[in-house]
Amino acid sequence: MKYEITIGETTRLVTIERDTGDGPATHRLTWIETDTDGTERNETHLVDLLRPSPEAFHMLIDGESWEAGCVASPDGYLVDVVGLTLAVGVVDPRRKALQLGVASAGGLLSTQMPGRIVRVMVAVGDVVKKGQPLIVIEAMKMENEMKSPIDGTIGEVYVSMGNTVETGAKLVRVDA
Amino acid sequence: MHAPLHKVLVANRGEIAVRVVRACHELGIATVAVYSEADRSALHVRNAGEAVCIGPAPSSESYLRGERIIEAALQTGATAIHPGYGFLSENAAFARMVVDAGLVWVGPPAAAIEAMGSKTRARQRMVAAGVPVVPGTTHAIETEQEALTIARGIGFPVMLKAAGGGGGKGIRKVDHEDEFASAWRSTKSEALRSFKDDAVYLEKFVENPKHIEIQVLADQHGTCVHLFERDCSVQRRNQKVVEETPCPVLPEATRQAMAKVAVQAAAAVDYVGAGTIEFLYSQASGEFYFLEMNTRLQVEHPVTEMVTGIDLVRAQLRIAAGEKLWFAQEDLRQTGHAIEVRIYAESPAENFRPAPGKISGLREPGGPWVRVDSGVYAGYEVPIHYDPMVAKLICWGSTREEATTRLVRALREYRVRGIHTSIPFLTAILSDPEFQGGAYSTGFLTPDRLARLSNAGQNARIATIAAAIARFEADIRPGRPPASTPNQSAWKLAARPGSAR
Repeated sequence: MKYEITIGETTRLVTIERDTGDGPATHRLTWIETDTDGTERNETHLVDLLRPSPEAFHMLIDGESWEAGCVASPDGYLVDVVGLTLAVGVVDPRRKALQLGVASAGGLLSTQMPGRIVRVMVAVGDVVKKGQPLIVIEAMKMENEMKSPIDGTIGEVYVSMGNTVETGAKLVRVDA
Repeated sequence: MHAPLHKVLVANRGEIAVRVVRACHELGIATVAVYSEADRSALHVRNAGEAVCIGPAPSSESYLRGERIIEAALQTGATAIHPGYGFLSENAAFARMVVDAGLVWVGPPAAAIEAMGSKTRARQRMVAAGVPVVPGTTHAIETEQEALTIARGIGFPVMLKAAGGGGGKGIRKVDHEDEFASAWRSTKSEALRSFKDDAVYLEKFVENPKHIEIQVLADQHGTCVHLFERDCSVQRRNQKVVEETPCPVLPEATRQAMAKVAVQAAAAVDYVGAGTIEFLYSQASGEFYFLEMNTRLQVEHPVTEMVTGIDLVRAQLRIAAGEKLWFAQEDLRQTGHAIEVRIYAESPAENFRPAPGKISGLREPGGPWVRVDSGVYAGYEVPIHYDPMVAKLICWGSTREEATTRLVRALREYRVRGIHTSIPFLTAILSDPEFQGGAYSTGFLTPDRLARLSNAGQNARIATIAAAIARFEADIRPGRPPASTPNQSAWKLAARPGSAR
């Protein structure tokens, strides 16, 4: 199987299969890693997975002991490794090809955190720039601006002042 | 044994409510928790002996409703109220209401809270008591012209401060004379908006100071001692991030002088209970200046407990019960070194956005001299309504280096699953050479360093591998997490127990 795995700005195309060799490994993963200087090289890892609970992963990666937690999120997993939680996007390229025909890409703004809508700064039909604040969400006594993902026109606003929203909730659709 | 404190109501939430409940139970005192509708599942409600719901989620309708809290105390037969920190802890009117209701207030007298509550009045009191303050005015300034004249007199840069301010709000640095007019206007309007009081005063700006504070304890019989200093100079947006004691660079003579002044300051307002006097300390000149007094328990009180062996919450309770201090100044020693870090539900890599949500898994660190003061548990949903601090991690060591390496080790052990936390950012701070050097100032977290440290600790490749496996297993065995994997050789099965050691 192949998956596109995205952390921040970096996407890796990972090939994964069960390991059927004689060693203790359960999975074999390969991808092309691009170093900071731009050089590319193949990476292959043999992983021996132990899963004490559905979210707890203990992995011996080429013999190195690593622990990770994987909690499903709307577009992949929240993965914690040594105290740092990362939002990891996982896409099956075959399914992505199917979806592309349906949804317009890139213009949907959704929230990565639950909170309360304290300001809606745009209305349907407004022309906005990428990075322009559209909605302000308050959580834990802090106000956070949610910015437009693209240049475009506001196609739909899904929330209004005072609404409480959960993680992953759609806020605004921006049409390119 | 503590007759006046038969049962204590804890007027707070989160880790500090849990901390106070623990101290009460160790003294054989019964406890009552209060909670908002959003906090039914909070840890302090589970730990206390009794619990009373005091209103809806917003603090203004629950934890800040003094009359409702007093009602809860009377209704449950509590005889005293401990306010923790924040919320109503420095509200003199509430302290008075508690006493008027016939309850014991575990805190300083309302008059002492009032005397220290206004920054300008506190400055006047301190100047009168011979306590050094940052050069500037001790009163609110009337006009912009008058303020500018004073600023010229003490020299730029200066700080404009709201008299009723706190928590880093209503403070503005002015570097040059030509910025003065606009800074004056915006400080005044921010003061009015945030604190309903547009009184503003002015102080000299001290370059690269350390924020050092002295812990004091005073009983009701006129005895006041200090429990040495804490260095709280690692700050982000004027909020403390890391606290340690002793301060790694404070000369002994200055420590003694500062402590003496702190005891003077407390005596000047007839202080009772646990309090903290904050100072700015200039490493360049060796001078120190009174900043303000916090008339309550501090978030960072555990580091003092770790080096002195004095349980400050227990001491607060015994003092409130009328006991005389059971130790003298000369009995107190700073033994070894202690450091605390504050763990927030926030995402450092995403500009520290708050990260409330469900903690699906939690494993706290352990081992010798590791202390976790936490308000959360596995399965708990961190609510969106309150402060994002979820826990504090404190380590002691015989030396500063030992305490630092132990704290880094403990942070690496800490597992919080399901939400983002500041743990990797804290690990990066403790590993920073300037922090380790000890001479860092309140300017330590420059924008550059903040950007570097808040993105530290990414194990992107490990996360990639874990996410790929998680998805792969879900795709080939939908709806069923694989407890065991198919097509395993006998060799692999035999090897399995070994890998689970």
